[in-house]
Amino acid sequence: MKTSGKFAAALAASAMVATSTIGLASAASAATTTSAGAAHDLTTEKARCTAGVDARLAQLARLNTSVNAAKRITAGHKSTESAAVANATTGLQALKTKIAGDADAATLKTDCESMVTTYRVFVLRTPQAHLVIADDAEIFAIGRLGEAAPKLSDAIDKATAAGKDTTAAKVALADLTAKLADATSHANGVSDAVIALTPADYNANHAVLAAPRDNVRTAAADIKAAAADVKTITAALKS
Amino acid sequence: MKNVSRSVAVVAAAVALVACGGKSAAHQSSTSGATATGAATVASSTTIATSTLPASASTSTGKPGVTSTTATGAKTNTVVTIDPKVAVVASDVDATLADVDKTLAAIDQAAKDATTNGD
Repeated sequence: MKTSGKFAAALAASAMVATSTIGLASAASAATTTSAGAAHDLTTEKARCTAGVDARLAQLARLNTSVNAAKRITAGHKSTESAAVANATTGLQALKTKIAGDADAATLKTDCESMVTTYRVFVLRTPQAHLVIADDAEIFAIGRLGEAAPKLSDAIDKATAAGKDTTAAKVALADLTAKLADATSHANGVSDAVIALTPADYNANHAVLAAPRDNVRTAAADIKAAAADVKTITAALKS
Repeated sequence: MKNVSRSVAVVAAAVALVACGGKSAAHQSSTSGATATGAATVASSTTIATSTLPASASTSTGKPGVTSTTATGAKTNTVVTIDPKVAVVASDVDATLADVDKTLAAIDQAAKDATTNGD
């Protein structure tokens, strides 16, 4: 929580200024200085929190664009993701208004913390949306490659029957089958699991996205290898 | 039949060129009438010379599968046709993988942004 740390430091600095001032001047003068310093800190912190809210609103707008532009995301996941982004946007806009009206440091501190922990825009919402987009794309790719595999197998059988050396093609087909199976085991269910996560889940476990992230990356590597196998088989049969 | 005759002639010429290299015209002439055994040393896709190809040697279904040109005692020239849908699948998958790569890069960027923005 950088924000709350800096905020606390600012308040502490304010207190130090007040203490030293009391040592050098009259009590009345010190009270005036303390009040002015606190007001300055409140204004500074308010501006910093507002900038943080704006950064998150901009990120949510980018996420909305990404979700809408995703070609392979399912309709259901798109709807759920869009709703999550819209809800977070509405909440942060309301929070921004509240922060502008905050009159004391304690309330402002709470609101600044809420900007982070209630929404988790960067550490949860952003990777969450991208993981769903990526996983849905992978499921699509796995399905397409699954359609190609029997056609390639058929072509290999015919080539073999015609006396062609199909050893390399058969090895590539076996690898294609294995990579698709592995990709499926890693990609299946990731979107549904990830899309259900909330900021509260992240607050309770900061590593909540680690496994889904690894699964999506492993599946991507498998699919790339499977796609390469398709090219290998095609080239072997045409050579 | 025309296509096969033409392709056989072209391949036969290629066989002659590869087999003979820079050798004499007389040597090339003898190779152009090569038997299957001679052709097999050049490349697996080569075919028999025109002179040994029977008139009925060609078949072509026009469908996905295998089209062969065979002749008794000669090497087989096998052309495998793969279902065109496979090429479409490969293209689709390549495009999708490009999208996945972009998305994974966005996740990496999000981790950096999280640090910058104190999330």
